[in-house]
Amino acid sequence: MSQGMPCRTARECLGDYLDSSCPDIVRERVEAHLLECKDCSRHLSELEYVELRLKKALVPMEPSADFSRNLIERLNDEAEESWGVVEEPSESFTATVMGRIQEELQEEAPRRNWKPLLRAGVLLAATLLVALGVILFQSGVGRNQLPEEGATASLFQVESLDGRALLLNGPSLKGSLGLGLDLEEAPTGKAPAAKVAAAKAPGREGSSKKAEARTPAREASQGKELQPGNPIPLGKEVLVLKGEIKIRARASQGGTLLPGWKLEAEAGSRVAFEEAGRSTLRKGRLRISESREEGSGGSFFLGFPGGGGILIHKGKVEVDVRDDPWAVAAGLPGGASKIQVDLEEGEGVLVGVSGNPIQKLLPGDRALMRPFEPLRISHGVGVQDILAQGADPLRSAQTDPEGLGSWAEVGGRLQSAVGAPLSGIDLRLVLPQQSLRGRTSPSGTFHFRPEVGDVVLGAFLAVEVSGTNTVLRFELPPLRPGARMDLTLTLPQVESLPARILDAEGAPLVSAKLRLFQWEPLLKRLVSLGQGVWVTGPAGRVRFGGLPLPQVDQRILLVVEPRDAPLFVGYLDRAAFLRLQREGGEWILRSPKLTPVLLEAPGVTRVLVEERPQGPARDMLLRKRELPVVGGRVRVMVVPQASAILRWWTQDAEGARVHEGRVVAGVVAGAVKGSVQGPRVLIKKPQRLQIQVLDARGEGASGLRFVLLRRKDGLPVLFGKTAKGGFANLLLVDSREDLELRVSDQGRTRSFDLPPTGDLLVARLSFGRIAQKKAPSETLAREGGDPGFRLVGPLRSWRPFAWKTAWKTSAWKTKGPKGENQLGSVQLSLSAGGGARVVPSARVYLLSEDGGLALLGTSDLLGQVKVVDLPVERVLRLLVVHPVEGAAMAELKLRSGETRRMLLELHARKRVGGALPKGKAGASGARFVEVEILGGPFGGIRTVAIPGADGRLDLKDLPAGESYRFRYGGYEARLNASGDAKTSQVLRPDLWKPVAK
Amino acid sequence: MHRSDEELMKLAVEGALSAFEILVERYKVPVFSLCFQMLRSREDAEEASQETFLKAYRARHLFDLERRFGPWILKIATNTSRDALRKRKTMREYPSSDFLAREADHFGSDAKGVMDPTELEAEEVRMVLESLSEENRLPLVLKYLHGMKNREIAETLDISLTSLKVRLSRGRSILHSRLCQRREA
Repeated sequence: MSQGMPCRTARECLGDYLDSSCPDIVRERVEAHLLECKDCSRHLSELEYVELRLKKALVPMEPSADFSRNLIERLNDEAEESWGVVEEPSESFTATVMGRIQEELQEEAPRRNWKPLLRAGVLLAATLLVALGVILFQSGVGRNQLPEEGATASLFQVESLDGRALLLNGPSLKGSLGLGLDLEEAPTGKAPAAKVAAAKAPGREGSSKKAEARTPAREASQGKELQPGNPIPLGKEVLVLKGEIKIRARASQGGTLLPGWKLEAEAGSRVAFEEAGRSTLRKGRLRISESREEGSGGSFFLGFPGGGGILIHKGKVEVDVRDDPWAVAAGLPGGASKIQVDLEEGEGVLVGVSGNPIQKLLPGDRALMRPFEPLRISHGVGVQDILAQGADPLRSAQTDPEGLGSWAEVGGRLQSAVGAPLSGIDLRLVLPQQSLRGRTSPSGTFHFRPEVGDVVLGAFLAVEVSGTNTVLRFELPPLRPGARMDLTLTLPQVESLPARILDAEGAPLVSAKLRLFQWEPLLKRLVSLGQGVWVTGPAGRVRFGGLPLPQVDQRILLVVEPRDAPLFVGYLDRAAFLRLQREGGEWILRSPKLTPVLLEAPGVTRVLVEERPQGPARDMLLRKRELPVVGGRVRVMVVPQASAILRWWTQDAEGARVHEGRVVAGVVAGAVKGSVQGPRVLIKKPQRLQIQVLDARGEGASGLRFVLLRRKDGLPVLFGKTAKGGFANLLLVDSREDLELRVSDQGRTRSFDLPPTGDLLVARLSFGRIAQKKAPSETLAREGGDPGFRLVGPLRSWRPFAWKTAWKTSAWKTKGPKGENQLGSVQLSLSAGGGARVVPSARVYLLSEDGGLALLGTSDLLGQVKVVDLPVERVLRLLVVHPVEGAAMAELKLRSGETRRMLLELHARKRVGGALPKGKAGASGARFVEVEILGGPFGGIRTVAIPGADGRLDLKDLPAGESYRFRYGGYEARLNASGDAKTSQVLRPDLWKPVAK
Repeated sequence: MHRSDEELMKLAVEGALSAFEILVERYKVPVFSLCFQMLRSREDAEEASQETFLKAYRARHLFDLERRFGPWILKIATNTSRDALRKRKTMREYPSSDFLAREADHFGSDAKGVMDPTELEAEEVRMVLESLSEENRLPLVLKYLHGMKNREIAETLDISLTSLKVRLSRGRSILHSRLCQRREA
């Protein structure tokens, strides 16, 4: 123990010490401690060991060669798609901003509801109020005197007038207006205002044609001259003819402190005053500032023509709304081409047409917008024109350079079936050429500004209800440039859907798993309906609860996974292939007859099959799995009138794709059809062959194992077991081939020739008959080149020494001795640690004479593996390898039909190293060390090892044995394999003894 | 001219896709390796890596230019891989159900069966590593796979430097004891 540093501290520092990231002083102290403390020093070496092994184990991996290309393509798509996306509100919004906006919307909401009621009384109310205004005005409300307009009424008041200004009756309407929509009518202003607006305001539905008639001259002729001190009643507009006017918002009589704001309007401006703290600049230039002496009691909202505006919390802002002759001529609402907002000081928020915040503004920020163009905001850029910068090349290319009328606006509110606003819901406005993303605000509102060069038909809003993975679709009426829509979308109620799932014969499918999806063709996405998996009950019945009511043209995709059978797919509506039919209030899905399809692809080593339905949901991935390749063949099950799209590839040892291709295989009217990309893939519809195996008494023999071999090359085509009654259904790729069927029963194997035929076969094979048949002489043993028994490359590097010299095996060639026709099996039970642990996942290989390996199987969870159909009457070497537990080898000779049970103990490999004898031995010029393993499962194995340049021997993977014998020059050393397997052993110099002559 | 990641990101934010392409080239190996470490499947790792870069591109406006790109993208990669793992649990892949597949398993030729000794050792470490909880494993992976500095790892995983050190040392010692257990066994 060091006196300088306690162990605990030292250990804490060891990590940093290893990383060389601790300060010198700490390093020195740690080193001092390590010199004295063996425990910590050992701990450090453990850490180093772990670190070393981690570094070795964790190697960076290269993605596939076409990774970047694919990604860039997707990014390009993305970039195109994201063009025109509505900016989502910045996250930095304070709660107060949100609260404020929500308040405003809540104020707005009841107004909508009042409208039908008020419609009748609108004239009266308007008359009354206008009359009241006129009376108030005409009754000569004194200078600086607050008018009597009720407790909540407030006034703006002319503070000073340097020039000439008129008070007009024309109010402005805030919010947006529907354009030929039958959804919900756009909100109007206050009831009294509405009456006046209907007659005056340009750019409104039904009145836009009057817009061209509005000129300042005409307005002037209708207005009243304003004087300093005059109050400005709500619902009126002020037109500044020349000079400047200063208007101040005042506190109400009720004592409520209202915003103390000051407005300075320049000549040519037209400002509408709607309510306390809220007005709209219809045209011209206006400066709004906090009136310091009054104190700010709240925010001020300045609306823009056509909707939207800026919410100013404090400070000073200058807004410029420029007239645009084209927009006026086109009768577009607002009639302004450009709105520029300069925030000189304080803080503001730009608000969209539907009232949702678009962007927060800070001093120096400048927003420039055109009514039909996405808002562009620059931060602290001064006076340069932001549009000219073209900051985003992706967008600038597609921006209408004139900025005229190529945009529409779609805004509104999303609510639940009971009318509650739905916030934070993802929406998409989907147009034929583009798709815009957005999200509802806390008050459930949303806003989109799509570019529409021409009239766009077929646009819809897709609402993705997060959490339920539901997409609903709301069709929109034609969108034309300049169109504005204010929608109220209500999500539908959910309903419960009873269904019954039947198999091809009409019997109920019990315990089948079901998943429901809804395919959204324009989103190109499949979304699951509801959550989780449904399982059919005893009568194949299932009830899907909590689903949104399917809408017209929406397809619900039902994916059924029966037990022990391939899955199939049905549609609830307008089926592409399978159809769920409605019978007696229940949806019924019948399983189709699945057709197996075989793919023949010589040379293909791996096939990853992505099963996707064809038709509208073709992008849906039903499942992805690797299929076994047997003799270059792969079998898939295909739903009729659907297709499986198979993507297959061959991979090299590193996993890189060498060849790849795509197969669309489908079965139409019984014929297999398909198209293939890539080399050498044949699609074949297999032929059916039914066999029945009878025992000597003539009864069906079930549970017999059989293998079907191709006569010409002995490749296995099928494996199987006979079912009840001795029946087995076989599917053949090509029945014109000569085939051999082998049936095994309790060690006896019988072979039977299947004659070539072009037609379906039904064969009844009596076991007795098979026995009488002269058996062919071919066996399963084959040469290394065949895919089933391939020579495996990496093994060579695994071997620390040459297996070939070590394990001399008797010749095991492709053909066995004459008459050998029966096969044997081995049941291996693998264990390690002296039988203490079973070894799952160990691989069992058959070693061929030339050192090649054929994988025979992998042990199961109980450490067992059964290898069947092994050649008999010859020495077989089985190698069992497990990455951690080590290896074992078994040598055996099977008799015909024998099933041998073997217990195999796996041994870890040892590491043995040490110095070689010097002197005479070195002078003898020996270049190799001969190594012999004595005892143990690998006993008798001899090999040679090459010493390192430093004259030392280091054998890392010596198979476990009881002892080892090393020979080098004239010396011999024996080493007992003492200790547990993991420890390495040292070949000490004193172990070397001269070999006795 | 060599531009820093952050400079490139700035250009990408301004709309230069080619700048982002350079970043993809720079980071595809670390991202892919990390995804592979988490997902243990080339296919899935490839998909997750693509998704990572797509997400990064979509969120380019949110990238804080004051921070470094490396930890940011690896953080996205971590989250994407986590999502993929979660998805894999809900939509797992289905084993083939027909007997042909089962039987052929015994006879199939799989070249991956035998590995050389260093690979075996490495595989052992990877196996043990996989048995660690994500909390303890990820710091080790980031440290030794990517050679990241502790500060960067902490940034990537959104944890403090202190808790990173705790996790690293816990991870190391669990790894060591499990490796020892295996050897002893």
